[in-house]
Amino acid sequence: MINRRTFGLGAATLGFGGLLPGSAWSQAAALANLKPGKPHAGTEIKILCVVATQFRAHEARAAAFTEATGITVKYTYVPFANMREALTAEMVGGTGGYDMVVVMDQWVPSLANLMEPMDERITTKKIDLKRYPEAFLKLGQVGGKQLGLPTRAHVQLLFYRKDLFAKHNLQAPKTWDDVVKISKVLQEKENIAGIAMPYGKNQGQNLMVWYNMLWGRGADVFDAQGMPAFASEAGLKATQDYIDMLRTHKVTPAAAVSFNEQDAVNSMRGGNAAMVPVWWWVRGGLLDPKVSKLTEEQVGFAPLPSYPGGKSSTYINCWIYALTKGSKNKDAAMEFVTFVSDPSVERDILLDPKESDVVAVQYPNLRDADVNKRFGGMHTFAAEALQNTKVVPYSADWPQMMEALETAMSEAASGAKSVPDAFKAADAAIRRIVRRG
Amino acid sequence: MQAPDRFLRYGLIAPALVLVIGTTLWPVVSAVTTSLRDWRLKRSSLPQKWVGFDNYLVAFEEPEFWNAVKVTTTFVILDVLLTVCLALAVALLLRRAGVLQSLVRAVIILPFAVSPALIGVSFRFMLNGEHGVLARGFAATFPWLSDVVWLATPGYAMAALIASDVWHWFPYLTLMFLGGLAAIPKETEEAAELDGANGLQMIFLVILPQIRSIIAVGAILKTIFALKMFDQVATLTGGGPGITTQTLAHYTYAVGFVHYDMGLASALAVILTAILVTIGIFYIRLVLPQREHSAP
Repeated sequence: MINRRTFGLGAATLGFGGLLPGSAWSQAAALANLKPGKPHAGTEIKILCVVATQFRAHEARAAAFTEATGITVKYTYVPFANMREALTAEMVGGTGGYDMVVVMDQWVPSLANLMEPMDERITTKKIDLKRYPEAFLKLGQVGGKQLGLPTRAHVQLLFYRKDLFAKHNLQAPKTWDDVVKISKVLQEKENIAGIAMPYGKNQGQNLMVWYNMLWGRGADVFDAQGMPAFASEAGLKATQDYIDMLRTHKVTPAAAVSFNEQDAVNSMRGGNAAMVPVWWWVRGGLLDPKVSKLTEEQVGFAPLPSYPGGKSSTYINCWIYALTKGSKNKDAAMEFVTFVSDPSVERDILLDPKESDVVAVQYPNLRDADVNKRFGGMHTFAAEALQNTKVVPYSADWPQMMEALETAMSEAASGAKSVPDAFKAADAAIRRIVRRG
Repeated sequence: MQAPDRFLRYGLIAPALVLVIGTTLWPVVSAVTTSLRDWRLKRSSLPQKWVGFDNYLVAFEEPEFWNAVKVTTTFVILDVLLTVCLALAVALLLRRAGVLQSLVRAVIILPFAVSPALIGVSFRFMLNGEHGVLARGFAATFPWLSDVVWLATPGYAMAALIASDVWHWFPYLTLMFLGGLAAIPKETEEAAELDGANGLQMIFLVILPQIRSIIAVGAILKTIFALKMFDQVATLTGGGPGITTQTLAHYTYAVGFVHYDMGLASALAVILTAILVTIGIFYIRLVLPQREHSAP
């Protein structure tokens, strides 16, 4: 007898199979690696998760998992601004209230006590880690142990006004000098700011483009001994370049001095800026007619600019799915990790016409022809960039160090301190943090 | 008192006592004990060894602590002064009977009903240089302010922070002062009028002295809340530019939930609590004598 639920699930599966390339295949592939015989039937997996369309999409696909395993999945969503506190409370409480958590890379070392190392279970479940870019995996490791699997990760792109560039016969900038030149042309001819970038304090957002300039100048955040290296001559030059765009060349909106990332994006989608260097997931918001004046024909993307002769780089951001130490349902939770991290689930979401999220963390999908067709080749570029990208070596002290850095950037941007003064003070502050341990 | 009566009394107040101890005293005791221990969350989910007053010494050595003290002091002085003055001015305007006054008295409390965090977010939008209504309004009205980026300059950012809090609090104090003004005997003003007092003399020499204790109570109450300023710092300025608007409450939060140093954060919380308790004692001393003089 076919009940209403079975009919609904079957109809949904048929619908997906008929409309989406590979969806019928994907569900079978994702279910194939699960334990047979429903050994965890009746278990409920609780997940503490940040608000993001991708996780809603995971939740929507959990019905097939529940049907196959008897395990139900309950997501609790927390806004990004409160996520760290929620995870901290979970770590201190240690009650096992959640079986799985979603953790951002920068927080992983300081929240390591919350998470159960996953290495053995990854081996048991035969999850092939080679399908993930090395950089993403590194961001989920502490002390050589894999604390979680990448699930939502971002690379940076330069989004630009394709229509204005075409009108004035301009090419997407390859260097930061090009950015200044192009910006000045557009500011003069279109009365629009050249590039919107965040210089205000907000969770380290004013550092995210700066890292690339630092690397492009041959400098780095830390040296091999883990001591601050950003105040070197090359580092200060790179920082001065970033500040000069705002204060000397004045190619950013004047208000950018207090912008956070969202303000910068709003500036471009409101038609006030011609370029914005930002995460790839922002594409959806730039093209959303409810909040943006821009259309697909007006927005192009390119790799982030670099310095002459240098390669483009991207700072990356990665969230992991992790099991909690206090969970009493770790094996059942690992079943869900196995299901949800299958490349086919990610592909389903990427090709779902109802979804607009560009996020992919696995090479098969980054290089997938259908995925690239849908997003104009964005993922192929990301795959290439990810093979060469650097990562900031986060430590448990990173959040405090980042605060010192973002404060220095804010001080330099507002003119309260010169670049050398602000960043030498940050250098001293970080050395104090290292000494205190 | 008979013994059974005494037991009954204690029995009746016991639930309230347990509730107060559980929700007020226990967190204070816990904060004090944590402030004497090394507890960095990045190392352990549980408090570690006892370190005496080390956390307090570390706090006093941190330049960020002294910056937060300076910012908090500046904020409290300007915020309390402006809020009280504005509330007094509005209360004096609204004390006369009239349709308009009644209408304003009814709606003036609305800002106080808005969440402080939401006020911070709203002011951030309104002060945005590209599309903010306040930023544009100021630029149109006062052309010399057209180049000001409100949240990017220390002085203007502090002004924005204070303005958001004054907007939030002055209605409450206005209603408080209106209550005081209503209790002033009409005869005193009539006598002053007969003696030829002008408007300013009437306000400063006749009216305000009679509500002096209510003004003091309002000012102290406002001081206590200003000392705890966190929400608008978090949502409006983020403590910036640099750390020029980082108050003690926001710094305590950062040490606890960004730096993950619960021992040091507890020491900072205890310091803040000590300041608040001291002011609270003044507050109670001001309020209690009035109650003693009031009719039984």
